[in-house]
Amino acid sequence: MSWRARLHQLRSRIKLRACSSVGAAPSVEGRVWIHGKGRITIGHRVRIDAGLAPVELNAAEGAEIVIGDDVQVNSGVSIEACGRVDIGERCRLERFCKIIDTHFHPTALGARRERRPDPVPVVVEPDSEIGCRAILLPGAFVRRGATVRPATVVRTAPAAALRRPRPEA
Amino acid sequence: MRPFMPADKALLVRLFEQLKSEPGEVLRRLAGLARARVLFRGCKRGERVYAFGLVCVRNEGSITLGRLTTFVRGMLPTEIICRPGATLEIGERSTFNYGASVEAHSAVHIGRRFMCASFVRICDRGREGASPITIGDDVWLAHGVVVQPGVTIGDGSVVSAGSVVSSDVPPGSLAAGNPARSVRLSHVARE
Repeated sequence: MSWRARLHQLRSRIKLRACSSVGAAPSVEGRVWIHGKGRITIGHRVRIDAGLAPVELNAAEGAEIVIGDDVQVNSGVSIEACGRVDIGERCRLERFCKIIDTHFHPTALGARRERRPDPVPVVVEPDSEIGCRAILLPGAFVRRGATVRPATVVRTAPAAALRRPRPEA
Repeated sequence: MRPFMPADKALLVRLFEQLKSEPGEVLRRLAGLARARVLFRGCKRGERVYAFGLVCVRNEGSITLGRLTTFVRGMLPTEIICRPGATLEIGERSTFNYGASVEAHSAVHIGRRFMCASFVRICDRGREGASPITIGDDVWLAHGVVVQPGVTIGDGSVVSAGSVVSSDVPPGSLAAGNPARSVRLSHVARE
């Protein structure tokens, strides 16, 4: 490995120092904004390309974000977890897509701003692709190898998809 | 120039107490107040406007910010633009998340306790020229909403993430989709 590649890896590790665990050979271009007191687990060979806009990873206290091996994360991606968000292996997260597992505010007017609604876990299965500016709302479930078209909003998965037994990876 | 600190004695005492217990939080809020004073220097501001993050302000018309308006820190700056001869009014206790963009060419009126999520775009000029946008009290625009010119959003309404609002939203409703369609909030609201 050239000294340049080594230096890049070292810099990437420094940028990801706030994560609880980082796999082998991470690659980070640009700025990653990691905040919150939860656990963030990053797999092997994850590529984060934040050249255009920073990438946000926010795990609130007690929450967990798991990013699998060989995942590609592009500029402006924001993942916010209050419960749990899973990104499977070899997924691609395109520019400015947003993944949240809680709405942060209740919809009802009387209770506005008072209490954060309970989180519903978001699962993105391996080999899938989340398009540019797509939004995954709480409870979203993206099946193995699926493509979420650009600028779409994925709401709670149909009950059948949630009940389906998870294939072993 | 107004004094930096409010002259209220009870408030000063409370602030001093807090400075002893959690100095970081107090410093963060003081920095937010100071940044807002610098960024919104040409604007009419109510008391205690906070800018915790970067805000790109272009004030060529008249911008009015209500008291306790907050701009949240984030990965991209928020943008507040008011063109010559335009008016931009933001009610008290409004909150703007990062990356939001409000642009006024004629008039944008935003009510009290407005909640603006990240990457919201409000611009009152389109292909057919400028027409004013009015947003009522207690409105919540979720992530990535686009509000088109001439739209009125009623009090207490919620616009769902990623929607494009091209027609009026009645008070107390939930709007979703592209173009956004409204449902009564009382039918769908959850806690």
